[in-house]
Amino acid sequence: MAQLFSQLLFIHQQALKDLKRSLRKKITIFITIFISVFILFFISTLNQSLLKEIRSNTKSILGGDAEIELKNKELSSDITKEIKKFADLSLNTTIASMVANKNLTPPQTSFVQLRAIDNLYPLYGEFITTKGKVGADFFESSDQAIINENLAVNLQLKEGDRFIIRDQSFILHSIIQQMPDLGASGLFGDLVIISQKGLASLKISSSENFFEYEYRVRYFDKINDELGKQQLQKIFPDSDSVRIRFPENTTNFIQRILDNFSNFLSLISLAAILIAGIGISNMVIAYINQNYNSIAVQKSLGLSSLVIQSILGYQIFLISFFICIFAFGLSSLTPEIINYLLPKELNFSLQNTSNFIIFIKITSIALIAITIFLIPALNSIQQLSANSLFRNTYEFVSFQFSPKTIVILIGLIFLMIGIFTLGNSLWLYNIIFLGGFLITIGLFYGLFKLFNHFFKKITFISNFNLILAKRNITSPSSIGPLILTTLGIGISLLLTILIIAGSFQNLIQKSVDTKAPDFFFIGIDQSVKNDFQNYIINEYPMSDLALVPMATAKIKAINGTDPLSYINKRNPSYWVISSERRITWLEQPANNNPINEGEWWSDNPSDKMYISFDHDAAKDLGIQINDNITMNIYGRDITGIVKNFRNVDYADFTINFVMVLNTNYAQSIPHEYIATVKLSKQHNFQEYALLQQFPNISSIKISNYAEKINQLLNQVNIAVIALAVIIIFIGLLVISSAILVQGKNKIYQNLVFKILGLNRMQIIKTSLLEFFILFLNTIFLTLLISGTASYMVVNFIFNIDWFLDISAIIIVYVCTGAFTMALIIIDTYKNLSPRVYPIIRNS
Amino acid sequence: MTPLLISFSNIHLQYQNGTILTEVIRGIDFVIHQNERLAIVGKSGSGKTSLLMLMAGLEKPTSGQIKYQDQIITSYTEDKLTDFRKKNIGIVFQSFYLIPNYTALENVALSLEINFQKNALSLAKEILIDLGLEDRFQHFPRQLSGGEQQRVAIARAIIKKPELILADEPTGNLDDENAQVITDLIFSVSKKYQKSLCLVTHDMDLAQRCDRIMKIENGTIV
Repeated sequence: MAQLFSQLLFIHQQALKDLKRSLRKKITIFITIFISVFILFFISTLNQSLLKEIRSNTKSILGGDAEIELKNKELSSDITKEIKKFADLSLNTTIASMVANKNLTPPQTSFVQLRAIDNLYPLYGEFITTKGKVGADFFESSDQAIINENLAVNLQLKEGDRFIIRDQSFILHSIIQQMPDLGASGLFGDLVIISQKGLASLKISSSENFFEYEYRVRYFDKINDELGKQQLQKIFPDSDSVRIRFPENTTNFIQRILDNFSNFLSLISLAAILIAGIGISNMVIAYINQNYNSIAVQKSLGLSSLVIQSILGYQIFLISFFICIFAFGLSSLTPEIINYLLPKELNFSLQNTSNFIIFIKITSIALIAITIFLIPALNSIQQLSANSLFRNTYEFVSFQFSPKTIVILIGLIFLMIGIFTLGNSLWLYNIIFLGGFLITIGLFYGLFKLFNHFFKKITFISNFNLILAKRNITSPSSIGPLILTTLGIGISLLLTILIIAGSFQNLIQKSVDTKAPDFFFIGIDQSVKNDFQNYIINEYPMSDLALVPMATAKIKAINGTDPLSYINKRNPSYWVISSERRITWLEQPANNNPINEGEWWSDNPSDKMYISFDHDAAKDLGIQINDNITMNIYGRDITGIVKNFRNVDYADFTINFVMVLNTNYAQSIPHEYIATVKLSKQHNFQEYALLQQFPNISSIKISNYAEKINQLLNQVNIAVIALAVIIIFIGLLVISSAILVQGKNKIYQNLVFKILGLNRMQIIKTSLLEFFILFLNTIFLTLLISGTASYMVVNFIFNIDWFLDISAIIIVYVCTGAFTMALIIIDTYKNLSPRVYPIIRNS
Repeated sequence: MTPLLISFSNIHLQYQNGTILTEVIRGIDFVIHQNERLAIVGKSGSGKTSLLMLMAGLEKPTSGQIKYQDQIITSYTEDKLTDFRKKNIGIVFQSFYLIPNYTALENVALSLEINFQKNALSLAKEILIDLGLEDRFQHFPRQLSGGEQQRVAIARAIIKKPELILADEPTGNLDDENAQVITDLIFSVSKKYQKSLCLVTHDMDLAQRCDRIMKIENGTIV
């Protein structure tokens, strides 16, 4: 026992002594560990804080203890009375609408969500505008409106200005600063709030297709949530026209998205830790090779390999552990930073959720990841023998994998993935990602070896600098595999993300440029359909107008069974059955929706409903030709037969419906119309003129929405791209560290070059050529790997066309190439002109 | 008398180490003729190696003039000195100074490749065979014994047939047998190609084999 203690004390003392001497050389690698571990702590803390905030604000996000949503129909007074026995009831009415500022030249219009609120709003949270809390004067007025900041900027409106909602003039009361249930309103569009009196003054027909009554419920204090929920479920036992949402339904979706996104970011952070691990293993191997004789002397003095390994390993563990503590401490500031950065409108105040479990989990993951790379490097000490001291010869040591080591490594990999996926529903996805990542590391290493094998065989090179570059690359101590692996993984990840994002953006852009109409029109009542059609034909001749009827339906049963009872929420077409969908009816299938299974109906009965279904959705939901589908259309359950499947491309921005019915049967369904127009080149659409003529019709400019989708995609991409860039940065630090570790060798090599008569310019030329060859390799391999990975994701997961944005790829290569080259030149510059005398004297 | 190859006139060399100024060479004058073998002897720290560095253009004197044939090399820039060394000087060190990640063949060929000479590898092979290293072409320095490493270093120094061979304690790290082989080799090469040799040593027996012996003490010739 005493001997073991002495042994441990010896290891501890030696490790501290060694660490003190070599800390400067190891600092870059420790920075890489810090960055990657900090990001993992940061993401984890942020995710936990956001989830905690969402969970504690579910009622504010929903706007009440429950929400009752009806389309086109108010709650009856009996039901209202019933609810008011145990809860407050606040009415929000929403509808799509157009607003305009006619004082501008030309007048500016905007498509908005119009929301009418009553004086009970909000039941939870606070509604604050630039005038503070909204007072009774607003609710009593019929011509005042509150708008969001973006709309105020776009329409150049300030408090007190007049503007148009449909055909009525309103005064801008104030601008929204904070709103509890902003939801998705602010994501894609603008928002206008008016009072219920204001809505009444607009005289909007409640039969408009996008007219919704949303009642928010707040139970009285004596009623607990469970009891209130039961009461509501009793009032609405099984109604198709009413949708009730409780707080947990609202936030489940957000929580799932947050969990998935943070899991993905965490995976990338783990990749960063693994790259830092590569750096550590390289540093250890270089250290052992540089201290070959010292280690051999230690062995000759009786130190076992295990003790020497322990001294080295202990240093790295000690520093890594302290780094984890520091990163954890720093990450606890995350909520404060995010609170400062988040827009105040969201009314979010994140709390610190750092806890010991997160610390233990991430520290364990980091230390295991480091161990995985450390073991084969430390094992190389076994190759080193004290005999070399007698023979005065030695061999460079390299990674050592014994069967026992391999078993341990596999065990550690599983342990790391296990801890990482602990309590995570995406464990399979994580295993695939991490497995793919480790295979990619192996692939890069293997492909470099293959390249080296063939490169060595090239003998016809006559350029002197190229000869030297080749020798350096193919030498056993080359940092080629390190550059290729660390930089390659970062670039591959970045390119894969860029290609996927580029494919999406290309899809949107292509649709906007070719297929997509210029404008969408909604809210076309049957009574104005012909006038609207004539207006477009007369004002915009040569333009392409598409006008189709539209009604609302909900799928109740497929072959007599409620699909919600057997279709999983993760089904990609769950959205088709989860809520009401818009339907249309056509004489012939639309050109952009060709039939790809079954046939368009030849007969067109008025007593039978035929259904043409979206092909992909049908496959996802298990629907076959001739299946019966029961739909609830305005309160009536109607069963129809599936006659064919159409190929529907929702990304083309044209009119697309999941279900199309036969005209003779459907024409009696209450409906309005939806239209699109693709303008001929000479026309400039006058939205304000249309608003004046048809105040109830809303026009949506497609290019604006395509741009907003692009912006949203970009915002999501930014987080992922930022992480990929951090991985590249970590890779660069690893390379830099490798160059620093090699510094002694480089100085020595340059000294010999100098003695033999090689000048600085030639040494620089050689270094650049060496880098250029390695970077060409990196380009080739990263293009191959990212191209394949992105092609598989884009084609097999998203089913869209793969698109290669050459300019983005060139920018990535030029930037990473320039950075790496600069790094190599800076790191090697100081080694270019070694002073011969001191080195030779101290040799 | 053969013509002058290199001449030192009132050469001083000082090193600044922090606040301490060390004068290593204190006003030395001497010459080496073409095809002459000169031994420089003296105790450790007397300035022998410093003289060699100055001859090779690896250091610049603090004052004085070094003339190589009819060129004053003390006025040369660093790059010009490098070029001078490339064309005229071959150096053999006590510690060999081979490039560890180059094979024996590559280490030797490097000397010719720097001068953009074609068929460097085949010439390097020839000389290695001459020196008895025909089975060591693809060995890295760490895989060679001390004697073999020094033979590779000699091959590298003489393959380009420089006018002046500088050898700094070339046998210092070798056993007697190997030392004898290496010494014979250096002298035979110098004689065979009629090249000048400047040998730094503290071994008087070895020095005796040279045409002339110059003793250095405290940076001056005694």
